[in-house]
Amino acid sequence: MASPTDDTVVDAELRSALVLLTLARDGEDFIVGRSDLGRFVAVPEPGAILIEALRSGAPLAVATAQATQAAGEEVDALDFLTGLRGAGLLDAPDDAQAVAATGARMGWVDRIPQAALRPLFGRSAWTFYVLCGIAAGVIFVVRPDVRPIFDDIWFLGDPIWSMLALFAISIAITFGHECWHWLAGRALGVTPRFRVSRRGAFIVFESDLSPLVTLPRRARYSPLLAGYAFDTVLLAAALGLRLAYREELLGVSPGVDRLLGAIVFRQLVVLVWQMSGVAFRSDTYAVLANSLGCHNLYRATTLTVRRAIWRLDADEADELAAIGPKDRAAANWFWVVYITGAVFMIWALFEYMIPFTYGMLAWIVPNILSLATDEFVFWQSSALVVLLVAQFAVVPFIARREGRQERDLRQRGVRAAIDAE
Amino acid sequence: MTADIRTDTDTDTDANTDTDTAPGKTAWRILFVVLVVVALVFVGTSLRKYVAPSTDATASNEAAAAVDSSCLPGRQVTILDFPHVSLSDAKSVEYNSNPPTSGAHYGAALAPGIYGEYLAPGLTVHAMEHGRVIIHYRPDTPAATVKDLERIARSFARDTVLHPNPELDTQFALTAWGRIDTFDTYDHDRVVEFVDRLRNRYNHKSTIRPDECAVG
Repeated sequence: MASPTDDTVVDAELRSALVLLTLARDGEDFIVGRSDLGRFVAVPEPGAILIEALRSGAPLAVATAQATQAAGEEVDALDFLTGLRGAGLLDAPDDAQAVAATGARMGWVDRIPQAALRPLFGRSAWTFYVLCGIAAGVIFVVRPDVRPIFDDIWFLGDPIWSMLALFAISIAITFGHECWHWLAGRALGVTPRFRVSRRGAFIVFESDLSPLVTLPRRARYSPLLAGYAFDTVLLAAALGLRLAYREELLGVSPGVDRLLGAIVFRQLVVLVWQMSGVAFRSDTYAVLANSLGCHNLYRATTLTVRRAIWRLDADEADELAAIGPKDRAAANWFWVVYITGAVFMIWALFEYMIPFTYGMLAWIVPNILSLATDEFVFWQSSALVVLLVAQFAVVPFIARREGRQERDLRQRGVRAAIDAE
Repeated sequence: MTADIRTDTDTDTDANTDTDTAPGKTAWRILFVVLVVVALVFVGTSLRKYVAPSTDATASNEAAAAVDSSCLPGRQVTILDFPHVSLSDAKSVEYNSNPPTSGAHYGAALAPGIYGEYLAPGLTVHAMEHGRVIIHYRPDTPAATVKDLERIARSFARDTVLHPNPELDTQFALTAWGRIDTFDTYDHDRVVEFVDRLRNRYNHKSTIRPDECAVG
């Protein structure tokens, strides 16, 4: 163990790197991180005291003494600093590897004044979002005729144009969903990141909201729930417009009504996914993990279930032991939430997704097998197959990239400090 | 403090202490196996209809013959086999009525609603297979009549498809799975009755609105 009086290790470079760290209390722990790198870890209070002391210019010996007093036992300050360095928290700003791991910074969001965004996420705004959700629910109950059916997807006279149009619309709506996360974060002074990731075999757009750890847990709900707000308002708007059209209060083209039907279908499926996809780290998962005061509930639950059903290897056992007691306690029952969510997801799968997928395949496969190359529909179908295959073909590459990054972080002794993706 | 930064400094190592013979582990494994089996049975049962779908109309015709449908609007049409076909193959498909009420159709379905363009039989037949009623009118139909048809289609928005059909032999035609009504003189009530009685009467092989003719 290095001598606490060895001040040569705490040079000007290290002190300037420590200044870049954000430090925030989170229950009994402290979150230490780098907003510019999107990387955060949880440390016990003595660690936070050590960092604060060094940042304020205290010699290493003095800082160590303060940390030791708080811990009630001798602390190894050099070991701790080595850990911070290993976690990448003392890297140079804009470290390329870190950026690749956590996604692209949303620079344009940074340029929007916080004050301009606050009304969108204030008390009145959230009241409006909740009322939209209630309105959508009431409409579904009292007007069964506007409940979506999977046929609504084929809203154009041409099946493949319907599919391609809905694909483009879905990308636009997903972008809006993520934007609402980013803007809600920006309203609180937090910079989000964006990346393309995967959930199982599906590509997803993902906002890394890790910087939220610098906020009190209560304040994190707005950015975490902002995507829900966006989707709910869109659903209520589409339902309201459909209803107005059917009651002849709104004179829009019938094509617009069918488009709205496709959007209602899409929004309902997405909301069911968000609510039930807890095992896939959906928005609901992030909200639950936050409310339970957890840092790494997903991994804790995965390892706890694996241990209960099968066994853990030495590394996994060490990893589980290193996860905080709150996470481990919650993981003992959180698997029930996983299973409940999975039941709803399977229902949605068979009610909506499989009939739709079957219908799509039953159309494009015969068209391709007919080898009628003089028909436009042959090329339409082929293009759609290429699009779908390309979407799934990218998944293994993303999985490999994320697996490599995760292994790298584990080897460096880092674990996630927040469940907020 | 430890080199690997962690939140808890306690020495709880329960993760390392259990073994394969821990008493609770057997119960967990049984629960897991039960859940997996239930899920597989459910998935297998649900997928069976997609793996080898029956497209033979014999059973449908036998079911239709066994039910008294004399009180229903329109007239009964023999149900044809109903396979999925490509656009290329659809060109050579022959139906037993104009417009068709069953038979080969596209794999993709059709959203209910009002369409301003002609819809191919491959789409409308699939829509009927899902319980929709198709309202056909010739393109030269007066605008006021089309408006009235649109009003009807809106009031049964989830159950109807309205479109202009230049292939019609009559001015108007109403079709549901295995049932048709054709006429030249517009009759609002006739359209409403056909739609109301026959919507959702058939959805694939299930008759989900039993005929009332034999009752009473």
